[in-house]
Amino acid sequence: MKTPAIRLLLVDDNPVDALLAQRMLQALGDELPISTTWVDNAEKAMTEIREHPYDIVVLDYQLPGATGLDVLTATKQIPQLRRPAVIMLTASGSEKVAVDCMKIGARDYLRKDELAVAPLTRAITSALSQKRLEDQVARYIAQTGEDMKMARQLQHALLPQRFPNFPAHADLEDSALRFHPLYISTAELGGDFYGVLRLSDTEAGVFICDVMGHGVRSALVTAMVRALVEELMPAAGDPGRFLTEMNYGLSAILLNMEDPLFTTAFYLVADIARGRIHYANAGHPAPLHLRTAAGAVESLHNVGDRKYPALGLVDDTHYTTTTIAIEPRDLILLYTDGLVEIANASREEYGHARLEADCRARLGLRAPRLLDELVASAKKFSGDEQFDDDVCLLGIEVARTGQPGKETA
Amino acid sequence: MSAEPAINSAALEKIRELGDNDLVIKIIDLFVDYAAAKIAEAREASNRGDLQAVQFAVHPIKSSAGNVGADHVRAIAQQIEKLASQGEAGPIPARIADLDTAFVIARDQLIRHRTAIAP
Repeated sequence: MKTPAIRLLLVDDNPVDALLAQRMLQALGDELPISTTWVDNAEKAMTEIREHPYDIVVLDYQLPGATGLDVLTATKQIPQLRRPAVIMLTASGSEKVAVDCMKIGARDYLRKDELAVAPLTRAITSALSQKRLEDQVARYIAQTGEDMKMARQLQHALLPQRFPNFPAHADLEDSALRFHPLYISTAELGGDFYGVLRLSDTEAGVFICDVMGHGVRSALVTAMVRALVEELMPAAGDPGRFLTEMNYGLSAILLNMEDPLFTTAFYLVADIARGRIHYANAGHPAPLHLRTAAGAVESLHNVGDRKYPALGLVDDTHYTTTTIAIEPRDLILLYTDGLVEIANASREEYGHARLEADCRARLGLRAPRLLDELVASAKKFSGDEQFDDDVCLLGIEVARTGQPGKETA
Repeated sequence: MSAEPAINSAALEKIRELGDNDLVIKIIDLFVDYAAAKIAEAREASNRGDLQAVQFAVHPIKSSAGNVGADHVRAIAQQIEKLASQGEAGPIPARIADLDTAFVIARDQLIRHRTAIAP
């Protein structure tokens, strides 16, 4: 198959040198077929480069009206995949200028008074292979960027777009439980995920997890977790069993990985009829129970303050269920560590204790405002407007408890 | 006058190898016109004391003279460019006159060569 000709722009105002260079380029023949366009000033060169795709520009430094440096600078504005490789032409004694040009992007330079076929071939071949390599990298980065963008969109699509009401026929304001998420994602793919399951008209299952690390690995595990949440519906009424089975399923895959990969997780079942929540925790930050009527904020620790490992680390872990009472106007705050691990200039973290204190100072606020104020408080503490990690908060407002028809509001 | 030839014939032979005698003739014609114009530009710039314009005019003579083998022309052009870049205006008019002389000698030799190879 015939190799397509290399598109080369020769920029030289000296007709003697330009004709010689063109003949040398022709002499490269079929081995390096070149289609040459010659222009004799910088302005024409810049127009050509903007309007036509060139692979190589052979550029004289000294031109009427502008320098080769201006042309070189103009090529830098062109996106990588359309940007030609530039080889400078210099007269003797101008090597310093040529080296300066290479510092800002020229690939090579040739002395005009010693122009010959061999160095011209070498310079063109080398500049082209460098350009092809950089183009490959640019294509890869662009493709990866697109993939990551799509993966982030998919990941957001995995999160609940709407929440169930309790009972099903109630509208949001009349629902016994109301769910308010707040998700702030970083530029990377994260591993935070939450979901809400309708178990019955009076029972909701609420899950939150944070897969270690960032990037594609974490995102894939998040997708696995989401699939498992659906699959484990039969166990969803029992938080301990739910996490035990999820851990078993995840461990079967994650323990085969060369590098450790795990996820912290918390799952609760809110039983509106009995005014209780049952929960189990797999290494996840303890959620907060904002007891508005009692004027207290308490962490949801496991019974006996037992600690359990994150999911995917120890396959035969049995997670136990803890039960506490809930009342109308209570709020349960589930969160991932992105919120509490934000640090100030002294590397001190915002931390669980500050979060608890901030919640105590805001008892009685509706969840959307509470969540916004907590995020603002964490940012104020750190002095930074950005979080390093994804921040995921899920507030569960308890509007009523009790058997349907005998509820306390 | 030096007995040294004004033109390095190896340079012309290199041009011929790139094409044929037609190419050599074209290059000689282009050089003769182009270098004459640039020397005139340099002289005018020197007369009005514009050293940057002198530098700009003699700069391209260096490479094209080198390519046709007019080595003496190239050397003088290089000296003038250096003087102009250093702001040494004094010797420049005399050196431009030297450049002109060297060019006329080289040009005559190139034209003789052209006549010899013309079909």
